[in-house]
Amino acid sequence: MKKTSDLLQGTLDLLILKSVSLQPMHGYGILLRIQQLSQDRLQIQQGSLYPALYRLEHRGLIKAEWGESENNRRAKYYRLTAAGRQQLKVETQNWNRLSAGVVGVLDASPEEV
Amino acid sequence: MSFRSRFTSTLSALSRRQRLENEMDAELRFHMDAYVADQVRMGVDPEEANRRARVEFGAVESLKEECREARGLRFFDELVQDLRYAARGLRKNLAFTMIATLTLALGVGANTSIFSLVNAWVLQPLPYPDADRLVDIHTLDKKLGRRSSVSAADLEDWRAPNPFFDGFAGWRDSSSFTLATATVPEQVDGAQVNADFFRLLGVRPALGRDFSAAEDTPGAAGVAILSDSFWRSHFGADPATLGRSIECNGRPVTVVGILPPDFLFPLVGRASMWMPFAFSSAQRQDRGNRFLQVVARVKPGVDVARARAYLEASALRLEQSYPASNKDRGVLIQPVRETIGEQSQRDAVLILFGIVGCVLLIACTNVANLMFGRAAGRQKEMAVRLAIGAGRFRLMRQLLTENVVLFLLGATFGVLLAMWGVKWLANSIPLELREFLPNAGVLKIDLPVLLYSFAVAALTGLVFGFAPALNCLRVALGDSLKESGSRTSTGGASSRVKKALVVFEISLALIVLVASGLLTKSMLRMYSVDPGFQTKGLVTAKISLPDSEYADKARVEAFFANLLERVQRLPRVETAAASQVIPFVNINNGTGYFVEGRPAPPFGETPRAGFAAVTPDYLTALGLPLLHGRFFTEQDRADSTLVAVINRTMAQREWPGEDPIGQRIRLGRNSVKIWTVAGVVQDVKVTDLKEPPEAQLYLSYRQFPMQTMYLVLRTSASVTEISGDVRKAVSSVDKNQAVYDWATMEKRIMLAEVPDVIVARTMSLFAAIALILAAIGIYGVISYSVASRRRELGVRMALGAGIGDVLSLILGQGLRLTLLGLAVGLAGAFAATRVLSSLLFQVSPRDFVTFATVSGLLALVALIACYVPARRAAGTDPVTTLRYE
Repeated sequence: MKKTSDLLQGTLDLLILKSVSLQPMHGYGILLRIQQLSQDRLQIQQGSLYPALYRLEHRGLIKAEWGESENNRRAKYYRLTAAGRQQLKVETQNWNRLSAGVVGVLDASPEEV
Repeated sequence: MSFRSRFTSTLSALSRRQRLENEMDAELRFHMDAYVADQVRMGVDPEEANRRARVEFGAVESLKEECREARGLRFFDELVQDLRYAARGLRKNLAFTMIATLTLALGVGANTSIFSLVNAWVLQPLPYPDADRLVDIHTLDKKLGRRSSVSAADLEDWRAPNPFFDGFAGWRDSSSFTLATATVPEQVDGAQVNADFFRLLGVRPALGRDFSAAEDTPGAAGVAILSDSFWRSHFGADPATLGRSIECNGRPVTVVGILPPDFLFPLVGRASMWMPFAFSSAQRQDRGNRFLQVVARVKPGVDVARARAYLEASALRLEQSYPASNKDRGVLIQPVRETIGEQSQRDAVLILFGIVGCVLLIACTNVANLMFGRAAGRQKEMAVRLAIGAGRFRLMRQLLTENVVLFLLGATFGVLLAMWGVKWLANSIPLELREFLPNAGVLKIDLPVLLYSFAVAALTGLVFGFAPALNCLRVALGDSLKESGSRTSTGGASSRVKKALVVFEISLALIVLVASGLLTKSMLRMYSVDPGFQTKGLVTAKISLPDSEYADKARVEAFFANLLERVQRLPRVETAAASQVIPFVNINNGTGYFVEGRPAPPFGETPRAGFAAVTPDYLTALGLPLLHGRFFTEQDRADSTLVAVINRTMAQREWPGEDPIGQRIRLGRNSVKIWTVAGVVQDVKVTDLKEPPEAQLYLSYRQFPMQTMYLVLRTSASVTEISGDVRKAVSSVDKNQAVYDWATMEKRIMLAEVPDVIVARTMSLFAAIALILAAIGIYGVISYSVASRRRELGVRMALGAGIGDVLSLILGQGLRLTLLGLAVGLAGAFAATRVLSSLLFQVSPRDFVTFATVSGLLALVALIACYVPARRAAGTDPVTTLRYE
């Protein structure tokens, strides 16, 4: 199982932005959502996404607000800002280009070279 | 992303630090609880779930630290840490901290004081709207290169509609008014101005109204605007003063306005009453009668150079049309700011600022040297910190923080010192001169000055703290830990830097000393100038008889004859005399003259002489030596032969090798009056001790009565002792007249020369500071060098070196540094002192004697500073030294 530290920092940021773009959520929710969407292929260490969250907030890509959680506790909810939406678009394109490139390289067979 | 978002994010994190921490805790706790709850729901034992959560979360603290860093907080956390550490370090090493702080306080204090001058007089804008469009205009005598006042006729010509100027306003040189009061008439400083003067400046009276355009036409009713301070002192700040009629120069005048409290126009100086005045038709005709000062406002967007070109073209036209009065007369136009700058000795202020910068650099150098010494003791500490994983950048930052804190501490004390310094400077400016300075000469340490001081301290702290910090770190990176003790012989690189610093500071000190030496010598030269008369025991005062009652010249003559007779009889008055012009009071423009029997010179080449109507006793009162012929007597009357007395310079210029007595001159090209030279007197300095001798012409007050005269009394009494009796004498002749502008001759000389004296004195103070600091600097370096060479010296002595050998070894080292510093300094001074030329009187900016004396002094002081540690080194017992190691 991959550890988060092996996940490229930019990738974690991208995953967070994507999760938050679907609906405002708290940190634990984001973590569960990433695991769920990746069908548990991506495991993120508890707590490790907070520095990333703070960083993204610092950069103005997401915004935090306190709200009620499903079990009636105060929790900090993050949502995407306009700048975040823009960034998500750009990053997604970058990611797609990168992964297509990587796949292209990895799929190469001796005949093609 | 956006810089703004990051900035506000950091800012809000900083300002609500506690809240951020609480929120972070709450958020992480929520996460943990939710995780544990989910685990329990999935059937994990609560105990086990909690354990898993803790494992999964890992080190919560480092996680939080990462979050803080993400918020840009780490920098600040570390800063606080560094500051705390710096404070602890400085407290621990109190002797170092105190010496360094004191040194810096001297440097920063001197700097701040002078910067407050620069700020108030050079940087602050003038307090008028669009002040940069205000220009000051003079007539320029192109032959003599001298500026003079402007004639009303010329001014009227300039006023013709043109695309360059919004307007012109003239005022009369040094006016004053006699104000009738319930008791004695009072003389009040004032100014006579064109009605649009205040409008042109963009100043409105705080109360009442401005002059109307019609009020400076002939025959208009008298009106006046008062200064705020005069309104307060004489009218108790009563608003009902507006509309009141006061009697001024013998005619009724209505007060129409009160100026704002802070209004000041340094070109006019002190003025309590402002009155509009009309040009008489004679003034409008006579272009040779130049009696106006002129200020003008150029139109928005018009360059001063273009405005100047317009006026110069106009002056050329006037030269052709009116050669009799305007030949070789050009115009001088410059921003008002420039004129005020000249008045406030801007050049001298800037030179002082430069010098005080050198003093600061010397102080910083000393402190840097101290830091090097201190760093030597801390290498081990640094090495340990590096070894256990502190980042180099981090350590460097910490050392720099410490240095900057030290400099800021120095700046704090420096500013306290400057508060006193500024007071000292402001108090050294005589009251009489303050009104001619921007902001009335008030100096204060305001926000810009404070910002400047602390910015300078922080900057010098970074610059001068950098090398010691770097050195500390570099040595620590090397082999500090391996060394057994701290007594290694001088670390090569740092020792070289230290020596370079000492050379640098000695050279700076030399520059400061040379500047101070030159100025002091110049001041002494100035004071050794013979003014040409006995300056001690002379009391002077002014009387201006108004046109209204004294249009008849016979009455003027009778008034002064009568008055002097009475004053002469007063007790303690040795001699009473009067003169239209007295030394060290600003003068008239003199007069042109024509020698009989010689062809009249072409227009514009008429010789000129200063000129004064005097009473016969003027010679005795002043103690003026008579060289040939005779002075005036009471028998030189309007109906007797017209006689003139000339001074030596005029005699030598016009009649070299001849006897001037009996020569005849006229004072106007077509004048019918012919004056016969009756005597020659010694030259007298008229405006300033520094002026070259000029031609001077005296006439008898009975043959040339003047309404404005100065009383000149040779007396053992002081101004306060004599002025009451003189006032009584004046009112017994005419009860409506006032005597004013009292001052001893010595005071007048002092006022004329005081700017040079202040500059020289301030410079000497800086030179003393520079000398002391340089001595401390070289003492420090040599002491350090002796301390670190103890073992070497011990070995030398053990091998038979005598005390003399050790002394000469150490002194030789000091001498080498000193000589190198002197050489660099001399080169620097040689290049730099040229900027002093304008301040020097009869002293070359490269005066050999000054350069040599000052170098000798500095070398001597440096050697003494080296001798102390050298003596100590020579005195130590080699056995102890070696055993100590």
